Amino acid sequence: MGVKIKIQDVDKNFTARDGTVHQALSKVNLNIFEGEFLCLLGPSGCGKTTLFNLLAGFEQPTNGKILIEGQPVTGPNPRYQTIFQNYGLFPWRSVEENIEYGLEVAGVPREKRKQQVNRYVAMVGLEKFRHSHPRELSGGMQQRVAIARALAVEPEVLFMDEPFGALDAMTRFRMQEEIVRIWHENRQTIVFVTHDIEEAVFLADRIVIMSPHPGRIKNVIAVSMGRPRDRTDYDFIKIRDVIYKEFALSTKKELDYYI
Amino acid sequence: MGKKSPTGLEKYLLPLLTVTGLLGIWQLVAWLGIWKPYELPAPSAVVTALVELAGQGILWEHIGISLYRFFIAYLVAAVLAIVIGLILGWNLRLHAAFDPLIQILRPISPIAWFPLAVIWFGIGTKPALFIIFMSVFFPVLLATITAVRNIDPLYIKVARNFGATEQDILRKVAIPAAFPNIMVGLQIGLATGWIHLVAGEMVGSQSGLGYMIIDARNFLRTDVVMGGMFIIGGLGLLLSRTMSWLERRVGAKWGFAPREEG
Repeated sequence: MGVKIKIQDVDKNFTARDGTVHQALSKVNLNIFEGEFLCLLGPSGCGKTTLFNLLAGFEQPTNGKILIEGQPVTGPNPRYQTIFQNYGLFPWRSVEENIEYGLEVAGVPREKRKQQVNRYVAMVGLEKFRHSHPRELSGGMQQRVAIARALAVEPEVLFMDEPFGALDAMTRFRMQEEIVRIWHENRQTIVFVTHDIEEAVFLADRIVIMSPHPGRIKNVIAVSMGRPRDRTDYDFIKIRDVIYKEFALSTKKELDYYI
Repeated sequence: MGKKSPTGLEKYLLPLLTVTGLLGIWQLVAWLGIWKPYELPAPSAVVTALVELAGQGILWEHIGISLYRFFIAYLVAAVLAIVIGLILGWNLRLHAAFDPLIQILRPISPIAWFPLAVIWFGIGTKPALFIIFMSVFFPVLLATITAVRNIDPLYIKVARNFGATEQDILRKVAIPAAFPNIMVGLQIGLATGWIHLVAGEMVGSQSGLGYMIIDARNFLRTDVVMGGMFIIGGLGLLLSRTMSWLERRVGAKWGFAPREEG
């Protein structure tokens, strides 16, 4: 597997109104491989969302560089799609029209657009709702639309920022299974931000554990389990416990984040 | 808000009761003859006057010319205000340049423009059009600017991620996203425009509902004055309802939740 994304000595500072500089990320180094499912895991304030914004091109690093296929990231790019926690669906467009949006922007001809829409509406199982508007759908269904909209432009990388964070536990489990299935079908590289340890263990090939003040990579843990994964499996629980310890050992105070 | 919301039939019966009750009291007071008929004409006299004017065709002429003026001025003001509002809402630097000017002009009542309107445009339809324009333009402009500036930044982020150009975003994201709030401005503009139509016609015009009222006052035809007022009120209500209906149609097509009617 080749390296898809290279993060080299990245710092990110934010300057507050009163002039104080807050270091959100410090000396981050990481290689993300082609076709890998990578989870960024950590508590609030650990810089995972900052790192995510840098990867997706919404912000620029203060120092260091981020390369995707050898090219520095200078801004958002349709080849690297982002899925947000709040879906970002256009309420004035139906499910179909939402999925079609990226293809319209790319100037794909109408016939081909329809084909793609059909394919991805089916992939996320929303055939019955293709003419519905977002506000008529549940949160889980809305996130499926957002995923289909991103996939329709056939991106090489999916960046997902706590995409299931707003969903209830049962729906979240189902969406996790769904995204693994979709990833199996399409084989994109996925960078998935979460603060849910079980979610990370269920999804990831590797889990990047981050710690705060300043945000940095604390450890990288490979999850060498086959799929589909069973949340009650012995290996699953063992890896989960390793991560629990990882956080518990950092500082005693931060323990309450995870219980 | 009361404890019980009205049932279907009550929604129509209750206001009907209020209106007939008030009309009854008014008719009774007029019959008592405390005031002279030209001071307080009876509702029956008002209806008679209206029927008479309608029979002569004068009423329809005035209504026609008023509606015509209103639509022209409203359309021009609304289109200009939306276009300028979209530009100013989108471009932060232009907004910074023009905002103080807008803030100074906005609180000036359209009626304060009367003297200038007559000096600039003379007597006739033009000053009335100008007054309506002024009363529609600012509410729609401000609503549009606010609508554009309050667009959820996530929509813009998504559009940029797909590689949309600035123009793409304005056309396919900003305008539909701002639509519900622009609509609020169009409703307010409709109301203020209609209010000032009558005012505008009272000064510069020789026709229209406003002129009809002033003209009737000069002949102490209070019944016609009141009749004219009712016509203006009724037409205003009709316009506002038509607008709400249009809003719901477009809103339904674009998947927005219907706004509660105020």
